[in-house]
Formats: sequence, C-alpha cells, structure tokens
Amino acid sequence: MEDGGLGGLGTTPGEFARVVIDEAGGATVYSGVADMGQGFKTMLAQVCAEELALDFERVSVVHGDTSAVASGGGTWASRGAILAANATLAAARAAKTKLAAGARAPVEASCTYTQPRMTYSPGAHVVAVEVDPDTGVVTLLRQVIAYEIGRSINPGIVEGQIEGGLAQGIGGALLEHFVYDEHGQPLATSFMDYLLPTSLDMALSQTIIVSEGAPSPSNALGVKAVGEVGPSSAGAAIGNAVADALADLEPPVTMPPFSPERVFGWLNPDRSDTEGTT
Amino acid sequence: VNGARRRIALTVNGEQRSGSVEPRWTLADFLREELRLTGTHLGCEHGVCGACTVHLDGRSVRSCLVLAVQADGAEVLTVEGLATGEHLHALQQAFWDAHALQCGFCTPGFLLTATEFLHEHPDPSEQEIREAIAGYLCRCTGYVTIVRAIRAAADTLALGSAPADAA
Repeated sequence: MEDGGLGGLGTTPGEFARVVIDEAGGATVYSGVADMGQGFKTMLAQVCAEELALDFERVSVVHGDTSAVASGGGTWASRGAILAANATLAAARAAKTKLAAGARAPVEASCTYTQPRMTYSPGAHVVAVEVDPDTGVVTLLRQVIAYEIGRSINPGIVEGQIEGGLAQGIGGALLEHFVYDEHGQPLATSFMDYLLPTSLDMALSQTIIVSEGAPSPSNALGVKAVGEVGPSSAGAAIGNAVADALADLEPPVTMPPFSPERVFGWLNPDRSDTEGTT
Repeated sequence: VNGARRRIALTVNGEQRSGSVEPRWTLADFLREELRLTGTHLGCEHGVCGACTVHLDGRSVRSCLVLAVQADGAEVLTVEGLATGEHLHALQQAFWDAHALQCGFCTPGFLLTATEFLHEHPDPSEQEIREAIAGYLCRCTGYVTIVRAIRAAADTLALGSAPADAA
C-alpha cells in the first residue's frame, strides 16, 4: 500500500504493542488496535500467555485508550492477527528475555511490528444459486468456502470472521447499494432503503473449510489475513453463478448488487418498464 | 401542551418503577435515559434493526416504536431482567457458548425475541429459527452461530422443564 497510511493485510508501518510482566507474575498487553468485537482482547491475551507460559486468565489487555497506549493504527484490514499479535509476541518475548537475564519484575518491553509484504489467504468460494424467473430473486442454495489461513490463533474467532464476512459479501452481491439521484442526493439513507442481509438471505446450506497447512513465512505466528476472505470472494462467486444460470441470455453480470430489479431486467430485456442496467 | 410531562408507573424486570415523561418520548428513551437500563440498544430508531426489542406484557416490541406513555401500567422485560442473579438465562449462556455475538450491539434484541420465540416454539427447526430472527440485523456473525445458539438453548430449556423421572 503506497498511501503512506497505517497498512493493511500486514503491511508497514506496522502496529505497536507493549507488554508488562508484573511482580505477581501476571502480564498486561497494551495494544494499538481496538477490539470492537473482533476478539482481539482474547486473541492477544492468548498470544502473550502462550509466549510467557502463563495461564490465559493472568493476562489483561488494554486497548482503545490513547492515554494508555503510545501509538496505534486501528482495527481494519486484518491488522489484528498479523500486526498486533506479532507485535505482542515480540514484546512478550523481549520482556521474557529481560527476566531471564536477571532483571527484576516489573519488566516491560515494547515493539512496533512491521512487515513488508501482505499476507492474503488463498482459497476458493463455490456457490450454487437459483434465479426466480418471475421475480428476479436470487437464492443461495449452497455455499462452500475453503481457505488456507496459515494458523488459527483462536478457531472460534476465525470462524466468526469468515461467517460474518460471508454475510457482508452476500449483502454486497445481492442487496447493498448506495443509490444517488442525478443531483448526487443519497436515496438509500436508512435501513428501510439500504438493505443489509438477514438470516433469510444466507445460503440454505453453508460449509466453511479452514486449512492450517501452510503457515505464512512472513511472520513468526504464521498467520494470514482472514477478515477479507468472505467479502472479497462473494461478489465474484455469486455473480458468476448468476451469469451461469442466465447463460442463454448473456446478461451483463458485471456490477453488484444482483438485485431482483436488475436480474428481472436481464430476464425481460424487451419490457419497457424495466431498466436492466440501472 | 407540548412538552408537558405525564406520570407513568410500570413494572420493569419485576420491579415497580415510575417516572415523568414527555409524551413524545419512546419507551427506549425512558428505559435508557430515565431508568439507566442501557442494555436496550438503539440502532436505527425506526423499527428495522430490532436491537431495541423488549417485552411489553409478554410480547416482544421494538421499544423505539412504542411511546413511554403507552407502557403506563404495563409489565416490561429488558435484557437486564433475563439473568437470575449471577446465573445467566439459558439463551445468554448458549450465545456465550456458541460465540453468537461479536460486537454485541444487536444481542439484546436477539435475546429478547428468541426468548419469546422459544416459549411459543420449544422445539424449532433451523429454518423456523431463521424465519423468527429475520427481522433482526446483525453485521458481525452472519447469523450462523445465533441460529446454533437458539437451537442449543431450546435443548437446555427442554431438559430443564422435563419431569425428573423422564431422563
């Protein structure tokens, strides 16, 4: 990323962590990422506890507080597991080394972890769809998503990220659309008009396959970006499936969302009351 | 008169509560601002997301669409009333166990609607659960673990209500 920003998918300039080992043998991680439900608090505590051979419960994590953490790049683009967790690992390791060298607790160490390359998870996304010719509604019959993520620090969090990301990808593929009028006035300004996917928009059958056979060589934990797995692939997979279902009509399935209005237009190109490309 | 306050008295989570409210206030406003029961979350404030769901006389309602004065004399259950002391409700425990929440913003609404749903459908299929929660938005989970948690809670509740000699 050449935007001079804070780096996504494990790019520079990295993320900050500070680890303090206290007199009682517990530890505190200060991290520059903020946990809004992604599970960083749990995940960073796991990484620190494992490195220091501590019980998980003896590690606390401080985040989201600019008066307590020296610097931070924020929560986006899978920076948590790649940058923040590797920063935590390095800081914990450095603090442990100080103890081993004879320093007395409390000891602390900080790290700003950077890495030059992004760490995408390679994978595949297969989806079977049904298109209702009367309404243009696309139903997801079966969805199988398989990814090689390197290493899962917390399998529940990984699964949650993939399932949630899939929902976001389905929203982008079928529903979500910022619509503007000719004056640039936004028309989809509430959840009545901007449709988020619901439980009934998910595939009737969904299978997630997570492989941990090829740890990333780019970082000590071997982790890869997992947050983007669902949203990045859903649009292409669903779009291709819709194009395949309507292959005889050769529809221009190039721009999501593949909404009922658009699909109906592709199905009925001669009707004047539809606008197949809007 | 615009802004003139009305006195209301109601039962919230089993406790008698009262307050003076402006007629324009929603039940959600009263619960959050007056009673400081901030577990009821306001997402969209126009009845779409479901996060603000509470029970009003045993039925789930969106507290952003109910006026506080309409709740005068009613019995209200909010997410704060689900647990018994330190003991989580079966649904709360199931959500915890199944990782059915990430950011947790939508969770109170899902818990309250699922409580009512399981009361009426103690042994639901996956599809029935999906339909029951289709009016509630979650941006984190993709609903998979929420459906799983509600099904697991149904099993827990069935065990709890089974006759002792039936096991």
